[in-house]
Amino acid sequence: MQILTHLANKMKKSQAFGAYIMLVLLVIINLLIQGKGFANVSSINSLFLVNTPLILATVAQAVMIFCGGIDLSIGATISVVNAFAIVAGQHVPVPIAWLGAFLIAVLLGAAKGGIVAYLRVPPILVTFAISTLLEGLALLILPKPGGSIPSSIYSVYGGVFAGFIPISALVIVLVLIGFGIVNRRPLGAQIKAAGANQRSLFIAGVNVERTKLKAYIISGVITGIAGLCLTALASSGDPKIGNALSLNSIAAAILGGVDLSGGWGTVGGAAAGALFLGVVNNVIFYVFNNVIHSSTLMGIKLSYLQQLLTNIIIILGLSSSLLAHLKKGQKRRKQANEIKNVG
Amino acid sequence: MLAAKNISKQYGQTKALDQAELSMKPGEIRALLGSNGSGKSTIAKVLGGLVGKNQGEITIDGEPIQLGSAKDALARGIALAYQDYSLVDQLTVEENLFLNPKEAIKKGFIDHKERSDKTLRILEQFHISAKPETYVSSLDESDKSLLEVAKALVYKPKYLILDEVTACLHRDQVLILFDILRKEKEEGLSILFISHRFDEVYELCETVTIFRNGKTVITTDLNKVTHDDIVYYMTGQKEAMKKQHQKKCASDQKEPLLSIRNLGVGCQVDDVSLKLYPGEILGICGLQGQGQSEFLRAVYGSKKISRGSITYRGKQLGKLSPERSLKSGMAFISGDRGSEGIFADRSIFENINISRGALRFIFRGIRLKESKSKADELIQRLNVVIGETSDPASSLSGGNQQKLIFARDLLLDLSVLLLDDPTKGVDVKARSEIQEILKELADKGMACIYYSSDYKELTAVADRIVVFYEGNITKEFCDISDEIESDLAAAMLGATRTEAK
Repeated sequence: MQILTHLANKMKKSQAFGAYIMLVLLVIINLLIQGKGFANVSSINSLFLVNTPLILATVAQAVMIFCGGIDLSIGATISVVNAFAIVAGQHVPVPIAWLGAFLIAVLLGAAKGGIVAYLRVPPILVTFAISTLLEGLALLILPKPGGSIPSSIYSVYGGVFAGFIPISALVIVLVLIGFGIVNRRPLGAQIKAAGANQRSLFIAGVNVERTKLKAYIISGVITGIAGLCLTALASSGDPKIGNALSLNSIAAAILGGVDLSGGWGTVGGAAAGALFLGVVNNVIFYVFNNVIHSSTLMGIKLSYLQQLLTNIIIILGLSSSLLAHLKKGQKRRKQANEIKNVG
Repeated sequence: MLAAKNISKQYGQTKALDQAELSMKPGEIRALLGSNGSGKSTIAKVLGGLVGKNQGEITIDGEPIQLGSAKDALARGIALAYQDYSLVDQLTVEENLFLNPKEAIKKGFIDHKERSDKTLRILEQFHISAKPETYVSSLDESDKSLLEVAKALVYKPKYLILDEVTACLHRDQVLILFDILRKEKEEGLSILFISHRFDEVYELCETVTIFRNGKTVITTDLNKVTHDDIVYYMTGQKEAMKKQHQKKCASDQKEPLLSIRNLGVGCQVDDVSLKLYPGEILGICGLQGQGQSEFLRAVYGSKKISRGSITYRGKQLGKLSPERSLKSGMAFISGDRGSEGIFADRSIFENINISRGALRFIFRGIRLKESKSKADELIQRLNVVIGETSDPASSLSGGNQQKLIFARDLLLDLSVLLLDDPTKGVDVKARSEIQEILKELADKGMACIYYSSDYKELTAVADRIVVFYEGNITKEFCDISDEIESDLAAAMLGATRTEAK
């Protein structure tokens, strides 16, 4: 009980409190609708299985946004990782091919970071240009969908650990722990300072450019892992497989309480935001397949409304997290006034 | 000993520093004085490694050093506390203090316990009412100023430069800070104290260096120079604050131009009633944060009023907004030029014409020639020192920027002008020029509500002074002379209230 209240207190202080609450509420709604159909190992496993690439891409995006950037090329990077892993896997041993694909993502992160930090080009321009370039590169590597991976990889990625923990969820946990280690070092606060107030960081005697470069490399590492997870999930190559992830990851990061202007948010919140998207899709899919079927209303086939409803829920989620942000600002100001009045 | 010799620095056409000299000795607190634009902040930034110098040499104990970045300066033991803070709002107090830590680190990882212990000790020492894990954005200005100094001290510097850190502090906080600084001085720290407040300089410092127009005028012991000498060295002329009060006290006026009844704004303004008569300059006096800023903004319409009513020219105002206020001839000038006044990147011409243009119907044109000649005329009249009207406003000094904002509002045929500390950070000369402009306007029948953080300014220009304390008007002075200054100072501190009890 004590641990629970301690946890609750910690959550309340968290910058991603709203995101956690939203996710929990949604899961409860989902449980009410689907009942046992949702609360079993295989359905939880498939939820994580499908959503791990998005969750990891969102964490990578969040790191980028922390340091004052934004990455429109995460999706294209993931496509390149996928295409390279599949094509190289036909010529060299699979582990080497996958390692190569991963390193490409890290190098791309470093390249983006280098251009943004040292050449001072706005990140939105750099990553937009690079995303077009990478979309082309992915098509060059793998002109049309195809290829396969050893079935052992898929069965490991799709498996469960200790009977109830999805391996894919474990990957997410490992990535979050990895970033937690970064956060325990001064670099964690420095990355956020680079996004919130560069001048302060410079005044503190820290090399701002190098800090940004480090953040982009960390983001590249996580993007690489996301790309490999997507490859394991799809078990084949597709040069356009990841492209949609760029914008989805930004939406998910905002849902997770990450402030687009930099310096505010947590990676845990970002992951929760992405999971929120996943659960929304899950519940809507269930409702439309099992409750609504092919019923019509006023001549409109209701199942056509699936996308619409999904996106309306996402918009509601986005506005509520933005509202929470506004409110937090007011609360902070109010606290300041109270302190002033006491003083 | 840290010495800077023949330092020159040029920003575009303006010479910020011209062969300036400055030195700092261990165990000494030196004041650096100068009017605005005299290069005080620039030399501080040069020594802090924030801006490069064009010429000159910096030495520590006779050995020349290069300061390419703030990192170099910190490595040499030079730390700065900035007037505009170097704190990250989104981080906590402890994260800010130990953003680039040399202590509280174990094998590259943060030692959270040690860090929070150290932070607690610092917060206690500076009497800041915050926890280590409080976000800096929720601190108020005075605590931020103290934290800024604390942050500089965390680096354990040998040379500490304080750039106007007391501007936002309450008196008791100033005393706490001075105690800490004296203690550090005893331990051999060398401190450079940049300030506008003469009293504090006399209280804390032993020696003084005075800058004028980027040059070092004199370096001497403080007890060898008087207040008047300092003003002379700063401005190059004897202090000339003439006072000519036309006696027009509120009571014998007829119809008030603006009458405010029981106005309240959030928790900052409690219950304020005021009458403003044509041709009157009404001074508001008070410590920082007593609700006067919110009051002025509420009257202007940029802040929501919670209670009360405002009657303007005999009509009660319903909905308030800056646009409506300007259209009806009520303007607001803030001392916070950067965020509430000037468009720094736009040209001087545009800055003057922005309000006039904005108030017109969207398709109604502006005659360029007429606007230009009017702008030129105003620049002449207000004695704004500019290069070309097409230069960006950022090329002007603070005082001239402020005059530019006056010019903007003068184009609008005003009847009421609300001023929130318009001479904040403006040098003595520009200050008296602004006061002249105000008096001239008042003679033509315009009414002013004028808040200033410096009560001496109010006694020089106002016809009537009210004192704000904790969101209320606690005292009103109708007879303005030098003698009431001590009464004013007492009223500002809420003395009348304790007497009543």
